[in-house]
Amino acid sequence: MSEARVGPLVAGLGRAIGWITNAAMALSALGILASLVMVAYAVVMRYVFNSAPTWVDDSVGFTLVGVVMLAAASTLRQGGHISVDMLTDRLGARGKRRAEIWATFSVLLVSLILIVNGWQTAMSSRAIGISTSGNVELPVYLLELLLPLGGVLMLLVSLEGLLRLALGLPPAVAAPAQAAPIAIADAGDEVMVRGAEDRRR
Amino acid sequence: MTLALILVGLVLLLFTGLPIFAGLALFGGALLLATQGSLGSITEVIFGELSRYLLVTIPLFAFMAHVMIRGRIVDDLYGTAYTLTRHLPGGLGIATIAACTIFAAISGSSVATALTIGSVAIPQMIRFGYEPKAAYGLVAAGGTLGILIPPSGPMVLYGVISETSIGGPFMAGVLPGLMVAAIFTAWSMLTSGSSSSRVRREPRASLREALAALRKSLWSLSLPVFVLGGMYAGVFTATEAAAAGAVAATIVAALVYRSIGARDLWAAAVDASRTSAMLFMIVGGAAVFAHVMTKMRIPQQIVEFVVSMDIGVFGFLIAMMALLFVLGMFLESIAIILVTTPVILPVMSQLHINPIWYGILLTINLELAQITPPVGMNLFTIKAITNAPMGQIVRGSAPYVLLLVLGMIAVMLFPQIALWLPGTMLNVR
Repeated sequence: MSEARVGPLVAGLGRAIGWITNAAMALSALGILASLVMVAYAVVMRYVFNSAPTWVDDSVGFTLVGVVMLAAASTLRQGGHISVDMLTDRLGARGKRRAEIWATFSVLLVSLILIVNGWQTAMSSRAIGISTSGNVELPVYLLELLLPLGGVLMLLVSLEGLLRLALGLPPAVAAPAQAAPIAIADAGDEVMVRGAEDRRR
Repeated sequence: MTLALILVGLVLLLFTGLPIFAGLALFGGALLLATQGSLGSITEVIFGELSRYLLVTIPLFAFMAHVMIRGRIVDDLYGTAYTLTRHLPGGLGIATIAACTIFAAISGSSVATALTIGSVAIPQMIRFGYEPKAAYGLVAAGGTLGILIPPSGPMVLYGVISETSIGGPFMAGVLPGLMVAAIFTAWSMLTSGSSSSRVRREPRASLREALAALRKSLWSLSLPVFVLGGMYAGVFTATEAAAAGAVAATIVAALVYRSIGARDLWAAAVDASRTSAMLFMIVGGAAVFAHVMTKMRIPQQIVEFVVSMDIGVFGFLIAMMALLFVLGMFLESIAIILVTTPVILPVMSQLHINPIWYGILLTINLELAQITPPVGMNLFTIKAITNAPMGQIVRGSAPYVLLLVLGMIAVMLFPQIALWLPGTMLNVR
């Protein structure tokens, strides 16, 4: 099938995957705001009402798993995950393409591990009927399912990436034109530096 | 020997350009398959590592910093520092370091500090007669204070991995951070204040000018004091301090500066989510790697090796710092913390090395990693801001590599520089 004929198909697929990952990212951002509210609520309850809620710490921890798993695919689609590109940057066009295929394939493998191993672990927890220990008693399997969910989202993005590479198309999302202005850890550095380069141009 | 092979294998795999989280997870998974024939419940390991309450400190501090920048609360910081120091020899250099120090107490990121302060400071320094390479080096090095002065993302991660209270390393970073800032300042004064220097000096600001400048930066100066002061006074835990800071920054930006709306807050939340995904996916991958290291009894083998070598605390620390320095030239700092810390914790316990002290030495080494080629994120940041030749930036940063090593040696020889404050205020020793 020629590139011209598959182009609209890939574009449609890209739009669908973009919509799904953006929706997941929105849920993740809500998780950040929910965590903020929960921690602030705990502080107020402790100092104003002298009644520290016991469920906040566990709930915030579980929410974080959701935040990470829901945001990972969108971050991947925007090329936001950190890699060591010192050598691959010096490769020629063909070498770079091979390195990109390998990098995308490696994420696909991790996604499959998250899906298969995560599903088996969750179902095993469900069969035994384990609940979370501590102050919040929830069925563990429901929380553990967040990992295969994140795996499915990343699998979609990596399959789209491999398809685009096979067809010689550019990445679905270009590197961000405006960098995130700050990140608490230096993990977001490459995105920020890239953004600064773009601003200079 | 096994560990050396594993480390070399991992570094080679990461050099192929795959995302670090995937490299760690796949390498750890392959080792698990090779040693025990199955992956076991590795997603359970990842889930356990990611659901730690303390980790949420990082996105909450990130959210606070996003709000402060988007709300333009930090815009006047550099101007204020310059007004107060412009009459001193190397006044602009001092202002740059001072602004970096204060921004470090807000951001917790080296690159964010270099990027934010550098885009204002570098053009100004060059205009006032500084050699370009001196300006590049100063900002690249000043930016590294971002991870030594609390809050600090890498310190939170180290605290979680080493099961040390986050408040301990945070407080332990204050004096070494100020000491390093003072060393940088002294160097800047020395090199730009000499009689042969072409650096222009300005007249001293009047009291009225100084007060006006301080008033402009009142909120950007007081929010870190509120957050860190609340934490050190025992009012907040580290996570609560991050949430309180985020709420306070939002209130100041919305009500005092009137510079932020719901759309900006949403963008800050999305940015914090993205930071969490980038960072904590690596944490998940590193959890798999650390799990297999434990299964293979690698930490115990290192303990036995170090004990048999009888190199003592300093011998071990020097060897570790040399290894971290080399790794820092090639790897990203988060990966270095997550790969090395779990493996050497038993050795530290065996040698009775205070984990907070080691954490500060590790953080100074990670600062070095930001300004040593070929992979130094602050070098790339300066390149991105200025488009200067990389060789010039590296040469400008070289003196600061030596100065940071000097700072590291001082903390190694006098642990109290790091341990006095947490010992006195938190009774953490």
